[in-house]
Amino acid sequence: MAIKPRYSSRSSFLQIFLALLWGSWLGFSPAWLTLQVFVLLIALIFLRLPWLWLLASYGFSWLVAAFLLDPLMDKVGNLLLREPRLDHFWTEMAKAPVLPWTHFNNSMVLGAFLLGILTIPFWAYVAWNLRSRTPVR
Amino acid sequence: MKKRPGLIRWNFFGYLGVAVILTLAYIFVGLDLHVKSLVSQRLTALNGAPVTVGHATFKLSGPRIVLEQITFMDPRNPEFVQLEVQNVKLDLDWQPLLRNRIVVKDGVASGIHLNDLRTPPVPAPVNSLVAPQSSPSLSAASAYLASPGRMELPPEDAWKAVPSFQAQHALNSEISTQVAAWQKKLDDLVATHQQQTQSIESTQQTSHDKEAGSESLRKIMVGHIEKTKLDLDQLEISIKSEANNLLTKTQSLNELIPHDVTVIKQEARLPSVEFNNVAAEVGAEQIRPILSVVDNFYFRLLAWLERTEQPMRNSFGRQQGTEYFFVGKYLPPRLWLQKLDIISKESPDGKLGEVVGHIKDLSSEPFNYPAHLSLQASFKKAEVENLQMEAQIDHTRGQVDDRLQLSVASFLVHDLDFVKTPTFRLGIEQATAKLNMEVLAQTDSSTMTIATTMNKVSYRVETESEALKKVFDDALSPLTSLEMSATAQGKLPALQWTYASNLAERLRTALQGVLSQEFAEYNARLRDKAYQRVLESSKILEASLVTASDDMQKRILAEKEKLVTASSDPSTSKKDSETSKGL
Repeated sequence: MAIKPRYSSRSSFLQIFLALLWGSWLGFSPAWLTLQVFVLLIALIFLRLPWLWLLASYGFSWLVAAFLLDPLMDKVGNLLLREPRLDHFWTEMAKAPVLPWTHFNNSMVLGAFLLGILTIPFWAYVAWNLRSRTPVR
Repeated sequence: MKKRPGLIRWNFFGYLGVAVILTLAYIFVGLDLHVKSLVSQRLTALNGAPVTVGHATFKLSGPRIVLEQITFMDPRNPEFVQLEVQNVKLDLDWQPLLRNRIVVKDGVASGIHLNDLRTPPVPAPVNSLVAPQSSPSLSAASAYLASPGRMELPPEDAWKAVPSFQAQHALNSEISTQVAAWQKKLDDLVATHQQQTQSIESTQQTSHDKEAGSESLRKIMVGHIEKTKLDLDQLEISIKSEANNLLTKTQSLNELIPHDVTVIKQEARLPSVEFNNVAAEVGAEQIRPILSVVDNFYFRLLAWLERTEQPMRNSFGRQQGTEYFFVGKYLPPRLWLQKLDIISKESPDGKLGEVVGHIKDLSSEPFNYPAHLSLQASFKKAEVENLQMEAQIDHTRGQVDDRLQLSVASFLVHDLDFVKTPTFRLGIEQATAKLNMEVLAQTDSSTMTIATTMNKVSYRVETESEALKKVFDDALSPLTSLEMSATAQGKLPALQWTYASNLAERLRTALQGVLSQEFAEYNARLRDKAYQRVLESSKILEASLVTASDDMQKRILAEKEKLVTASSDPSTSKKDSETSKGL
């Protein structure tokens, strides 16, 4: 017996994908007072993204991070920020105006950003599945 | 089917309007609160105790931060307000601010209120250049003098460890062994005599020529009896000699009395009367609160400024990670007070102090920018007069050259304890002090000199023991003026301190006098007791030895009498030998 999908959407694959990705980035990020969070929120003014997927992805990512991934993100961030070969790179970033307000020098922020990038294929797969199984209204 | 809406929201003006309104609302309302919270957090981390900011304003023009009513709680007693600053204006530089760094081009702090320069009511901070004293001889001596049972002699069990007790046991066992050996020798002698007597008699019965044989056997028997007599004489002499030896040993127990006293004194754990460290014990407690200025600079301010990592506290159930600070050639310091003036005019009610101070180039990179600080202040309410400070922090060219000169013409000292135990408290309740301090910290060596003079000193001696209270009252009451100096040399933070103080000398003399007198009395009682014990032990041993020796003498005498009887009538020797078995 086939399961009937109860959800129907007019959103495209790209909209669902970006909503999931945006939501997960916001969820992984430990603090809201960083520049990238501000940019993500401003972007919502100009982009039409499905709120349901964005909030679901945000809630899911926040919970997974809080209960599971925070130590991993912190460890990855610490590893990169303490790496002597990257010291010059981080110093150059610190010299650039505005960039330091992203708080890239915080281990959790950097770890969350990297994890967000690594989850792009996962969210693309989820978005593709959702789009292909969900009937278009 | 409806047409799908696209990704780009072309009619975004309504949303943009809402976002702009929210942003402006944050800038005009939320930003001030954010700055207030941020400044409060950072200053709390620096102070080690809560710092509250009454009101904060961030002005984009300038940019400028205005902070009002900043209250610093005392890190040693977080419920106590130590310092208040009414107003701080900081003109920032835009360029570093764009890089999330604070550079104060010009600043003014005004309206300074110092509550008190009180000494810590709780134990000294963990990090201090003055190490805690490891031999608290003052408290040990005080505890001893306050103890009501201090003149009581140790219990009987303690005497079991003294040398004479062990020697007595050894001697007792030696006497028992010796007596057993004597008895064995006598028994063997008697048994041998009987065997030989029986052998002679059996020879007599089997002899063919009764007459001739009887005569010769009688001669043999007489000879045998004479030999046994000789053996008994020798045994008697030997017993006398050995008993005398044992008696001499018993009498030599007296020689162990001084050792007994030494051992029992160790058991009693009497405090030392040397008091070699008392100057350090008193001096360290005196200078620790004074040196907290330098402690705070090295262990708090400099550590806070020079740190390259800052672990953040968890919040809202999430980890907040660690912040890293990078240093570069064209990168301004994370925090840089290029110029800050501290100005305060004394108010008629004494709430505000008279302060003129300047801070120049205090930064998180002292290895790039040498800092200079100067301060002249008087706080009438806190009773601090004419405080003058000149300081320099210079870590440039890979060398450390920190200097501090601090002098206070007059300040109040409260509740300075030298000894504080549940049953005893000794210290200064109140005094008026003046201070001179010089600190020179360099890469290889550092020197510090602190000199204080306290006048109108009232002491605190709290104890249930009237005798102890009298000792300290008598010693301290004539001393109304205290002079104390401390010098330190070495490499930071392990400095070698030397203390000198007239208070320490007075305490040492008083305690030595009282303790010496008490110890002399106690030692005399100990010696008497040890002598009595040894005397009693010797008597018991001697009595047992004499009794055993006398018994042996009597047995030998009895054997000799039997032999005499036997020699007069050899035929009765068999009967006698049979009865002698019963002995």
